[in-house]
Amino acid sequence: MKKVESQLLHANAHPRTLILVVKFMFTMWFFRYLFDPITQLSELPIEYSSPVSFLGWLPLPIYIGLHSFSGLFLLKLVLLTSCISTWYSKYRRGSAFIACTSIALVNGVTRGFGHINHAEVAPLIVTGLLTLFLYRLSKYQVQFPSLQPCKTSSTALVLATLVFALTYSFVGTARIVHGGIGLLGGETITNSMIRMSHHDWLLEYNYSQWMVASPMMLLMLKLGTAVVTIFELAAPFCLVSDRFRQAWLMLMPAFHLGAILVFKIDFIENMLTMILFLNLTGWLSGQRLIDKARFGPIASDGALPSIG
Amino acid sequence: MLGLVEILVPIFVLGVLCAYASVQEWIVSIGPGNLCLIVVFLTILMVGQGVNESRKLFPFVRWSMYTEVYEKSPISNGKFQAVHSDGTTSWINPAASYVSLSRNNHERVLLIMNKISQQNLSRNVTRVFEEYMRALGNRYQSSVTNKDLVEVRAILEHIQIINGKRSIQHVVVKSLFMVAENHGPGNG
Repeated sequence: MKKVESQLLHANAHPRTLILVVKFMFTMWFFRYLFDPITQLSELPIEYSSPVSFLGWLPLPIYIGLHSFSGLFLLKLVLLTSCISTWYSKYRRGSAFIACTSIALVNGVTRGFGHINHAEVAPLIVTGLLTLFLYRLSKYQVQFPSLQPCKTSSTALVLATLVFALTYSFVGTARIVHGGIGLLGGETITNSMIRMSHHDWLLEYNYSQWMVASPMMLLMLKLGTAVVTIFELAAPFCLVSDRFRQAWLMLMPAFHLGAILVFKIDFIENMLTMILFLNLTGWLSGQRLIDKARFGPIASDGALPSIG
Repeated sequence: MLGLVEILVPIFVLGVLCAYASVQEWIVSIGPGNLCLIVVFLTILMVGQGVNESRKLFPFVRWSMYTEVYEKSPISNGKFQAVHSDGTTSWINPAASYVSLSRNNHERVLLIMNKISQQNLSRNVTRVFEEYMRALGNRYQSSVTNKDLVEVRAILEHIQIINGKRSIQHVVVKSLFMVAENHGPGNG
């Protein structure tokens, strides 16, 4: 049987790919926070906030000032302005650093008033990584990104994709290790769905009653959880397998949409960050996203032709 | 022990990735500086996963969702109810009141309400929670101008599923009386 060589995603990435992803991420954050009324949080008692990591290092007057109306207003203004500034090549690096810091601060403030949830966290880490690697590129490369493959761009994108994939892998692993068959065999998934569907959210709908009344839907929910868990655990293989990546990109956005409907949990930023799983370098260089010509038709014995 | 397995499995996955020739070629090509950065970042990620101090290590949190076997019933949620001067009640949606917290407030609210119901909360924290309820009530009042809000109730909602049918019980754990403001014309 002939062997198919797999190519590492983003192995030949060039600065233009990196800059494209950077601009995409900060545009995402811009729209994420454009209509978010974070200044309302100044109405809450400061004692209700439990400082999160780096925010706990701030002197108390600064911490209180940050949570005031003017502090939050300024933070939001700086965040939005710096996100937009990343589109302008001259200010890209500095803007990215300021934007990334602002986004981290906002995420810290909101989690101070609530629990440490996982939405936005993986995209935040990815954004921080990409910002760091902007400083490893030369100023000229940041301002005038070329289409020549370079080690820094390749490392940035491979690492960002790997880190993003690993967050899914951790989730899948933890679910299998700690929950195991008990999660799927008993009532855990059903009870979790009922609890999450009843909590207050922006949109007021509740499909859990309909789901609970249908044994077929509950069975599909449990089977779906099992399949998604396996795909989560294996997410890093998206970097080396085009076919697995295609399957992953079909399943996981659908899973996230299902989670919005059934569990009222939205990971919209994660869905957008899946841009990392696209062969942007090939697209920018004029190749097709999925290079069918390299693989050709599958032979009757299942063997794939070697790459020419 | 399970925590260690949780780290070893992703490391194994990374190991399998490194067995691919294309990955090995790439690792050799990127140079020691970039390789060092990769190792450092992955280590930080693993530490965050293993240490389970998400609040202290944010954003390098522990990634675990729906890992616990959750067979207990009834299922509980924390809710808030507004009581108006005319005796009518309606639910306050904290996610709509404070949109920025719509994704991550419900767990903390439930935790606090459970502790209040078990009388396991200090007076200081209870006072802070009351201030939170007052802020919620004020925000609710600003959106409802045709009724006066007199009381905000923190309610534990217990949901039981029996033979496919939902049964809900509400228990008031905390009640906060607001100062009603007159909205009609001619009032000072």
